Amino acid sequence: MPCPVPTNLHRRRLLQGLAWGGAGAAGLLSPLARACATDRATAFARAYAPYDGPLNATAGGGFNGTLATTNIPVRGKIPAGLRGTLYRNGAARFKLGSTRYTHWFDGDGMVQAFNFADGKASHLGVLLRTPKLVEEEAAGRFLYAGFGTEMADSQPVDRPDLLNTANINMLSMNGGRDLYALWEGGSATQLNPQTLAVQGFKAWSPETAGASFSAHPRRAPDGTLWNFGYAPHSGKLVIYEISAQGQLKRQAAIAAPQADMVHDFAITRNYLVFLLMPLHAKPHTPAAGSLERYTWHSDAPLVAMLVRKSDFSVRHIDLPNGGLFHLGNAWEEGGMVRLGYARYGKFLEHLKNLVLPAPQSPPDQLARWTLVEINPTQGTARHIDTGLQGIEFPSFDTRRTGEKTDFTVLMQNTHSEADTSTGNDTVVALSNNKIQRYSYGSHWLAEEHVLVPAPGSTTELGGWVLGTAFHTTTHKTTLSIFEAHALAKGPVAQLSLPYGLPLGLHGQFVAA
Amino acid sequence: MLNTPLKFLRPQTCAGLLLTVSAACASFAVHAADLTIIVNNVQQDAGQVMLALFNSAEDFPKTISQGTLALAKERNPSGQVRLSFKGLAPGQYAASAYHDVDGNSKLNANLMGIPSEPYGFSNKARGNFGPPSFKEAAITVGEQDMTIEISLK
Repeated sequence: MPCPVPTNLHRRRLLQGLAWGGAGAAGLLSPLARACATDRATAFARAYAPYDGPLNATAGGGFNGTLATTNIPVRGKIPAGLRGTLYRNGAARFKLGSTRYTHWFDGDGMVQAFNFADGKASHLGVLLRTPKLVEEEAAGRFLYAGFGTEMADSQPVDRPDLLNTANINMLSMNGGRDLYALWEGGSATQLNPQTLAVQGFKAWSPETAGASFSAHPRRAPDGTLWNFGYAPHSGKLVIYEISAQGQLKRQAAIAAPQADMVHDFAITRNYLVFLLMPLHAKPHTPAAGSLERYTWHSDAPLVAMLVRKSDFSVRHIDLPNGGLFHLGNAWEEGGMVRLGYARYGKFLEHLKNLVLPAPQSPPDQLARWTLVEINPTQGTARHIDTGLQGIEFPSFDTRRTGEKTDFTVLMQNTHSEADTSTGNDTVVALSNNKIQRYSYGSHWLAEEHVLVPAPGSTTELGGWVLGTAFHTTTHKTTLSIFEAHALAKGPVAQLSLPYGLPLGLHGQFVAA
Repeated sequence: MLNTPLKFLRPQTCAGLLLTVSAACASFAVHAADLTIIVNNVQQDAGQVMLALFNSAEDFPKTISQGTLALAKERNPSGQVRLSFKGLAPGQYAASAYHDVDGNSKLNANLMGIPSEPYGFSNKARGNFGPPSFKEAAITVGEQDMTIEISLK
């Protein structure tokens, strides 16, 4: 059944209904709204059915681990200057034999590579043959409990990389010659940049072999790559400083409070910036999913931890209680450290809601774009709620990581307030307090969109915004290219794949 | 997300004294059996294969009863080394082995405490976010000589 885009009037009525109705508000929702919520949940479920890879795979009548399309049909015109590859990663396979993972983060990683050259585009998608996948395929079933899926007969785990699904993000190093699929519990997984074949786990040094290497490294303008790793209940973070050529320059383990789940961080000229959640993990017990170990401390602060790059000295500043996955860019200005992050008031509830086949979170569990200004000298902070709600996946000009930027791309869930399904439908671009918006509409689940600088351009707006979206009625995936300065005008080119891809997490554009 | 420091498998062996001796440190007892341990999956010639034997749950896996070692380059073409503990009294034992690739006589661990050299336990026991229990790794030695295998991972 087609689900019409809710009108503003419709939204207002729903808002009023929620305000008046309190706990009984659900009874005031219109049948239409409820039908649409169900519709979207079903659509999200379809994006993962049959839980083992992309939809409508053409090769051999089924998905065999690889998908490829050359010369993808294009509506509009691919900009001539757009040359390179958008690599995207995400959890893709959720069912093996009689076993099934039920949390969105548990599936085996699949990398999508969209290559752009000479105004044409091709796609290669590969389910990553990690050691975990190879071991489990041989067994004909999943063998290990996931992050959010319990498994009574889970095999013993004596090193994190046994569980490494390499399913969160991508990293390109050394001028595109080295490519990694990133997870956050263990090692980076090195891939062949052309075939996406798994080459093995990366050890940056003997002391960090097998340790967590997060899925959100940050590259400073001088090419230095900074990253961290965490281990629940360890009370510390591992810090990596890696040269542009991929050589580890410094490593350290530093004491950190409440660092039991740390997905992202930021860098400035002088600092590494961590926002450490009041989320505490109990020691591991066999068979339990990792998520069950966590408790949220609603009376404890979010702790901003500034680590000085020069000597790894540490300063803690308390922020209001809250949680997050992602930060935007951070920089220093007038002696202050400034940053933005996607703040969740009820982080753990939201995390637990990200279950298949129908992840749903009520509006008050979605993230709000929040700005923080930290005075490192005085140890004080200002915390500003922008009022922008239902946002995630911040992206910015990564040539300026750690330097002042004005332009931030976010994904937003503007679905009707009655529709609690997870899934973004709108691209939002913030610059100089101006907001540009492009809405895909009600039949789309839009994924992370990234900012790609145009060759030769020095301004943040002189590039493109690229992102994929899953069409919930045809079950196909589309990649859209926008001009960053005119995002609201809609895409200048749209590529239509003949199949649907599983909903992914993060990607990186690697210029040719 | 997952790691718990694994501070185990650090036997205070006689390794430091006997780097060039392949079967050492065995203690001898009368009226008892020999336990031969085939250590599988020794993947390179560098370093030494360290083997520790424990005879009580209280001591496992910290205080070893006996230790022995072999140079990794003595592995056979299948990547195995064979070591023995001689004259064991009947009873329950657990054994641990690791490949001390850099020859520093300790099981290296990364900054999060996860072992970064190959290791294994008797009875195919694997730790789960920590070392296995003595019970999980235990083997029973009787009055007859016996041979077991430990595969390094």
